[in-house]
Amino acid sequence: MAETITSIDPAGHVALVDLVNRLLDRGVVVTGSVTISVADVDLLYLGLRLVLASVDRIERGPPSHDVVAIPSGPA
Amino acid sequence: MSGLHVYCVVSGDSIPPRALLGLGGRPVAVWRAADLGAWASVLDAPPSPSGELLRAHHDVVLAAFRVGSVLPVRFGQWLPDSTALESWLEREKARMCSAIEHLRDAVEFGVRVVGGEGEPVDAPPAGEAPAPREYLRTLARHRAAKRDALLRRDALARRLWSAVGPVAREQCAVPAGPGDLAAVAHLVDRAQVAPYREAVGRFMERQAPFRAEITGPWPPWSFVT
Repeated sequence: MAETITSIDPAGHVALVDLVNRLLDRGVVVTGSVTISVADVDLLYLGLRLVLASVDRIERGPPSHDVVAIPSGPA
Repeated sequence: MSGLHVYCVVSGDSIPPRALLGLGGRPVAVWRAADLGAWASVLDAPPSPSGELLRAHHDVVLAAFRVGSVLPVRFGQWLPDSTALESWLEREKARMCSAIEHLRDAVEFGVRVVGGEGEPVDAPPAGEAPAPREYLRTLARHRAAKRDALLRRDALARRLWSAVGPVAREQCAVPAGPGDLAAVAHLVDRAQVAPYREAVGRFMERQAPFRAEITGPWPPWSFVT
């Protein structure tokens, strides 16, 4: 059978890319707004709440200076 | 600036296991309003996404998913206090209750069909700069090839749905990687998981040399909007 079954085991071993695709792009949102900021300066206000980050960035942990997006809503 | 990081919304009386820890090792508690419950943790500040925190968020959603129907909440949803959380549940009660009923007793599987050569990149090949006319021709060929790849992906997804539709509730497209010939998610009744896997397997036997990478069962992330 030309098939590979990859299940999520009880320890939660699952590919990060699958988590990113779901947890940052799918699911219920609390509010319908987001402010994209760089270095604490608001650049763009969008109509949807988003979190923008690359898989590579997420694997390396939270950024120190070059923040691309902020998950909190507008003040 | 402390506040509430929300993991998921549940119906009924399900409560987080006492030992369950969320982001940053914080306890997970349930806030109730409008016949709904929201599992959340009190954090000192909104979290930035990292692999560790995404897994912690997902672990909490999985814990809720194991005991009942759940609406996964996207990572990063933040409310300033319990009053705001309860107001949100009250305001969204109708939509959420409807969604919870729709997703009851269902799980999600992700299916990526791989094994091809991947999509062409949307740019001419590197090397010496070609003449302008040749550059535009090359660019047009690449764009046409990419358009054809998208059409093939849609067609493959439709054929896959024809094969699994009798044992699945829904199919939706999910983000495809550069080597994916198709990328979809299926909403499947818990009782239909074995027939579903068999249906995907039978379909893929006819798609050789391609193969399917299946993940799941997931909470129904891709079927919550």
